[in-house]
Amino acid sequence: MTRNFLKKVAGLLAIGALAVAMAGCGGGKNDSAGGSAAKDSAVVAISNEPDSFSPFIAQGNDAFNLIYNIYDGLMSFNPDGTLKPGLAEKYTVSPDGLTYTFDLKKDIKFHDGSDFDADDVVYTYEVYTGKKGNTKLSIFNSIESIEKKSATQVVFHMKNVDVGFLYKCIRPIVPNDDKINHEQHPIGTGAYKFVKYVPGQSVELERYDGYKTTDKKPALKTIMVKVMSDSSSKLMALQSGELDFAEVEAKDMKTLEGTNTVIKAISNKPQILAINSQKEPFKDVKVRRAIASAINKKQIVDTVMYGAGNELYGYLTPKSAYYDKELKGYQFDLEKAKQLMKEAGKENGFDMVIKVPSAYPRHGNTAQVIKEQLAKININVKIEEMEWGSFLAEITSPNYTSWIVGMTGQLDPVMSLSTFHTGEKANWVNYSNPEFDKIYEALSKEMDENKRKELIKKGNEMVAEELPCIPIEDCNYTFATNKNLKGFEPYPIQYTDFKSFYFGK
Amino acid sequence: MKYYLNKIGVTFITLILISIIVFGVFQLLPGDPVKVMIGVEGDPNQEAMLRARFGLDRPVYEQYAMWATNFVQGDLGESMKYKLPVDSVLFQRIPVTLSLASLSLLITFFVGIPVGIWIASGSGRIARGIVSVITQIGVAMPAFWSGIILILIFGVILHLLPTNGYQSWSSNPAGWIKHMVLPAVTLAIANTCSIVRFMKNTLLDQMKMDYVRTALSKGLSRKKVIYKHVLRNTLIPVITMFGMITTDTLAGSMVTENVFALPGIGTLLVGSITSRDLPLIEAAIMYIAIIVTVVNFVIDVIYGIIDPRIRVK
Repeated sequence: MTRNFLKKVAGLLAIGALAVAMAGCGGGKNDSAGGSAAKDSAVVAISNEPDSFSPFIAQGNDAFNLIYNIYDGLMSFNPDGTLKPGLAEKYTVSPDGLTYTFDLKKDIKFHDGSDFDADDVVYTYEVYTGKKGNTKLSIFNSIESIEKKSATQVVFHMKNVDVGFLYKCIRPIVPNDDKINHEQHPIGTGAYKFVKYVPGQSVELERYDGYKTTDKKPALKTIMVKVMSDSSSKLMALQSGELDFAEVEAKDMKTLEGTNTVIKAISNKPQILAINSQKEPFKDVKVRRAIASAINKKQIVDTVMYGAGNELYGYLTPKSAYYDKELKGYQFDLEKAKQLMKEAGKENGFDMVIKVPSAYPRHGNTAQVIKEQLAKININVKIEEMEWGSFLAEITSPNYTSWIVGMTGQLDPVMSLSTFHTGEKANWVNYSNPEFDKIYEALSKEMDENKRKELIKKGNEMVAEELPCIPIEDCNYTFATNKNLKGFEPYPIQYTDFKSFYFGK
Repeated sequence: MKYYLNKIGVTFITLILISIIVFGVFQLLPGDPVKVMIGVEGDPNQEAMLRARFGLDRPVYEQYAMWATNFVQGDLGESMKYKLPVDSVLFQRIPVTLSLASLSLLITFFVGIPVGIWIASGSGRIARGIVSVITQIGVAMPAFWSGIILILIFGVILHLLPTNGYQSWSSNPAGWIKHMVLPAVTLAIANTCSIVRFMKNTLLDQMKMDYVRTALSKGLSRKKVIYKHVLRNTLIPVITMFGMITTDTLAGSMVTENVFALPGIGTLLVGSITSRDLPLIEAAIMYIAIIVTVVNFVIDVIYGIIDPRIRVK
């Protein structure tokens, strides 16, 4: 009797629960979130949120990926890494490299309806250089003053020659208006207007119909940028059609081939094994050369990146306009590696610790392969995974031993090579070599393109020979898109040009 | 009354201690919020500007004093990562976690307890055996795995439900349910299975007690014995268990939220730790601490109602 009663109660409750669950499912039947109607909006995933939308505050690549869709700079860049005028119609550089004159494009309006002219350029650069407000970017230290010649002409007077200056001029131009809070609501001249940012969730962008900076008109009305950090969630959302575009893990490319378009592109981010050349036993270049010779980079590309990588022997990647195809460097040669270890008096090997960021498994996996490869020349590697914040603290310490990470892709080859210049802030590998410094310092003053090319080649060759770090590979970007989403073009910096997106068969 | 006042006092001291511990642990943690924010290639001038903006250039005790004073006045500070007031970031996340938690708790309650009673009731050996095996598997299944399997079936293959994201109830009730069903079920699976097993075991244990035999021999009907005596005694441990599950889910299930890309407290906390966003970490942990202590307090009150002896103790 009691049992029956209990069973009835239990049964009723269970049916109730089931009904609630069914009601939930029923609601979902009508529209699978992807939708197949004529699409003029795309859903795009990003793994990390922008650190700020303000061009004056933002530092991270994830931020500039979006910022360059909202704002334009005086200069702009092509997918091959070369520069082109942006908001400038044309520019001239004085022969001594100390005066830059920009003629500005006309009839351009900001998203808030105000006109773009020389005052905006002067205002923006006064903020960049700290003459206004409380921000100051050290990349613009070389600017002496900014002068408005007319409503459409601006002249930059430089303190000293800065050959990378034009690359820096891709930085956004903002309206001459102190009241705009670019952190909360960015306003530029770019192809997409900022609509809404929900922290941790999404950024909504809308087509700017008044876009005139380039002839290319944005096709899609809305771009919904979703924050998604879990790679399997991204994978499923791509397969179900809820996501139109995302960067995916190399290992997922095969899985996605049937349902999505998979794109592999050189990232221009050299993955390096940094070894502290100021510390024993790495002080001896023979040890560094032995390590480089013992590493089979092809095996790393094939196993860790599933083929989505390019072996590197110098620091510049194949995406750079200055990439040296002929460069040999230290190719995989185990016998030579053993020989070099012997010459250095280290044939019995030594222990070393390689630190890797746990947030990016590819670097940890690379370290695993290297561990096995280096065991063959008696180097006993211990791998330490670190949380990102702690990892950054580690690699910026001059006392580090060894780490693996992908370096930020640069448009400017001089900026790339500054990684090895003595005393440079970007010299995370803690390298110092007067001979390299001489090349670098000459390069940073050289205006002549042919001589520049020669110096860049020399600098890159020195990296390959002296090995201030061991270049491993360019870990390619691997993207997956909706099969009908077209127009995507990879850039040598982290940037997705939303205005090139369109839907077609 | 004194019993409750005591409890409230202890709660306050606990919260103060927690806030100090979080601050202290944060100082010991390697890594610098500004470095994480602007990256290793960041601009030195920007770095100094940000440090001043967030008061990181002051001594630690001063930072804490400033934070505590503001906190008491209801000002949670500015998030370093989002550069927005912490309360606006936090309050945006709470409804998400609240939705997830309440729906998942409903499922746990309305499935777990009846099934537990049914298994304990003794009839249908084979069916009970099967359910028993299922609950065993359910307890063992990690949420990230069951979540992905559910997404695969209902999102990718059947296209019935969205695989990720969140819609608020106020903007779109149907969308809210669609986005919440899979995460809530995912979160509920392990909890429900534990409750079923727990309910069954305690119920069976109680049935063997002397007082049950006494009551039966006194001439009470079995039904009366179970509802008047056994269930009441079973409830104490089950409520304890429910309390634990509640605090767990209300504090945000980090794994489930991550798998379904839900912008809840769990993902917020993970993200703010990665970015060393101290004001946000402090606020999120204080929120969780307050939830845990309040739920514990409520459970204590419920204990007292169910079993008056506890109040006296």
